[in-house]
Amino acid sequence: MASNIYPFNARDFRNNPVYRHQAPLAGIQAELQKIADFYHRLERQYNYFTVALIICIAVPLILLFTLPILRELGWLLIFGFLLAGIYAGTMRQRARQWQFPRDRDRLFSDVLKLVKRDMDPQTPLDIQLCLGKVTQTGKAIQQRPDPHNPNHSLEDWRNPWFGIKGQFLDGSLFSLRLVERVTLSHPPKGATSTPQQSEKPKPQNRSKAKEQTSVCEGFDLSLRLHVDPQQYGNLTPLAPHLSGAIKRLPGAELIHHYSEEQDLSFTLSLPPAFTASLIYQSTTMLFLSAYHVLQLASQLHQPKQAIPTAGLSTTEFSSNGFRPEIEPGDLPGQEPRGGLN
Amino acid sequence: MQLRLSWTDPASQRLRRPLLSPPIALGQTFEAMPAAISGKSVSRMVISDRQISDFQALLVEIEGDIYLIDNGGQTCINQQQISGQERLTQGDRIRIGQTELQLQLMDAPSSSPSQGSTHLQTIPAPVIEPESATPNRDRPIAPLEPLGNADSPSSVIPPSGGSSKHHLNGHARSEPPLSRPELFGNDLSRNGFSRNGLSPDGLSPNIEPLPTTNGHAPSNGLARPAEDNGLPTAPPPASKTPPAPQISQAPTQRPTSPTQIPKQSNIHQPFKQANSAPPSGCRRIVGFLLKRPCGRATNIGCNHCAKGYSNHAYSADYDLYEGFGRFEPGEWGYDLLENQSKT
Repeated sequence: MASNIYPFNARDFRNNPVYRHQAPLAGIQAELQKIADFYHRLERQYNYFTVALIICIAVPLILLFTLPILRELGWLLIFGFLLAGIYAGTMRQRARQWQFPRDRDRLFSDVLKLVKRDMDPQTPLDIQLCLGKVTQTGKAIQQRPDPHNPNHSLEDWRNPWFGIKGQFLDGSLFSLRLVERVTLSHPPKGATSTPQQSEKPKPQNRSKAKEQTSVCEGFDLSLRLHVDPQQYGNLTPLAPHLSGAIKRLPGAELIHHYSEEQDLSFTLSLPPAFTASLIYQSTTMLFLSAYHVLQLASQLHQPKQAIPTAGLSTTEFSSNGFRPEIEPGDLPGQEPRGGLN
Repeated sequence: MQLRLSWTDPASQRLRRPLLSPPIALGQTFEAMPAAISGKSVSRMVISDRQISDFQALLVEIEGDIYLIDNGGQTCINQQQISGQERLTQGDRIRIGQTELQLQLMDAPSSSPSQGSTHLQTIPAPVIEPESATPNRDRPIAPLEPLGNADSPSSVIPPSGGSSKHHLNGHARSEPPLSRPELFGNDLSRNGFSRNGLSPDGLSPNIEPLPTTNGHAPSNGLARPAEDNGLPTAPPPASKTPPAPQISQAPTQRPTSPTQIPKQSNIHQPFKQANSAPPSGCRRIVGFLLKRPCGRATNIGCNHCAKGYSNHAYSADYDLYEGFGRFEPGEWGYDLLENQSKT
């Protein structure tokens, strides 16, 4: 899968709507704004070409009634407008392919703001944002016959929406990934190779795409953390108790969790009815659950410390590796800066 | 620091104006309110209003600031309903039930007794926690109180009597303000701190209050004349009660926008800088999963502090995980901690 590297290139992005970038958050957000502008421009183009197409269809119809007057000139105008209409229709169709997945982009921006709260602004983030269709950016993992339609087969696809890797202020490395589960229904391909053998399936042609129906089966939201053992100790003993710490919205299921030494991992299965807002809430709950576990691990790792009853005290800040950076030169209005010990 | 609360008693329609020392409990039932918190006797004010709860709210002093902690009723400050805790400033109007109380910070108490103090249903509590009566060296140094404070007739007698009064440079000193763990101990949930796992005030217990070593008692306990330190003094907020006459009216550096000068910190800030104390900085607690002090050297320009907010940032997100960071009995993780402590 090709990637678009900073700076954002609209032409490359047209060919492959996957945005990958490794940079501090401010740079990423600026790039995302470029992508948003790119999509807004395409949206405007779509609207303009739609209007042009209507005009190019309506005017020749009117000209037909004026043929006795205009004669050859009338035919010339009709022909010209039809050509213009074909061009407008082609451009409109091209722009339509790039409909802006607003929910996905908005969700991604919100999640970036969520992780930004506990990150050093200068720490680079490794992100991947997929804004294409499932057949462009997804990956087929299984093919099976359609139980309801014997002439069709079903394909299970995994369409990644985004992935974020970074480091929090306590030194923990995190990896967040959201994948959409999609089932495509289409006529059997015949003797073509199965999708398992081809990791990069070619985009379906237009006729097949019309016959295809895609159904969202839900989402997989996974979070992995690699923590500092000096702060949180060994996480292995917490493994049998993890499921109790994970809070989730109704409908969401915890399908995978493990903790081992420095690693902590959770995967939630979200139903297809979840909107971007609910996915964001699930993401927030997953982060809170993970750090609830880590706070307990920190307490168990430091038995002398009293059982906290609310949040983190300043003593715990230092135990968690935080030290307030107080610099006389800090300018008013400056963003708060955190620091690692 | 002393507070004067003014309100009209709903039952008798008489004006009450007691002069009190925090902590102050407000409620309808005397017995429902705590008698003492960490060795500090609580002034329990019974308000005859059926719309308030038995123990509606608590006013505490933390690091020189007054905070109101809502204990689960409907409490409004300046017509805005609050939940949890909010910092109070001069002239704030607290509304509980149908009763509206006006707050006056009275750091320099007058020599005459309070007019309304005779109506006060304040009973000094007995010493419940004798260990807290001994001076704690770990406590931060408290600002000097003006002379004569200990003789104020309306002040609450400390449980430890004279032992809690220290003298430095010949001036009486008040007890150090209580830090959050001392104040609330393990009973945070009752006082509105448990939600969201937030620090109650955003203050670090390690942040030292303002030391005064030059023998001058600070006016209002907050600021002192700017000519003493050579620093410009920010103008007081126009909407608030005029400052005490001791506050300097020296030329000031006016803000370019109203938000540049916080609601109350314009009084605090020059004094803190003048004494070369560790800068308290912005009191905002930032971070979501990893809460930490803001780290700014100054709170000037911080919209959060300027509005006088306490730390309710991301409250909507914290609501998604009730009990985040808490390991109380019955909650996840408590058994593991208990087992660890037993072994």
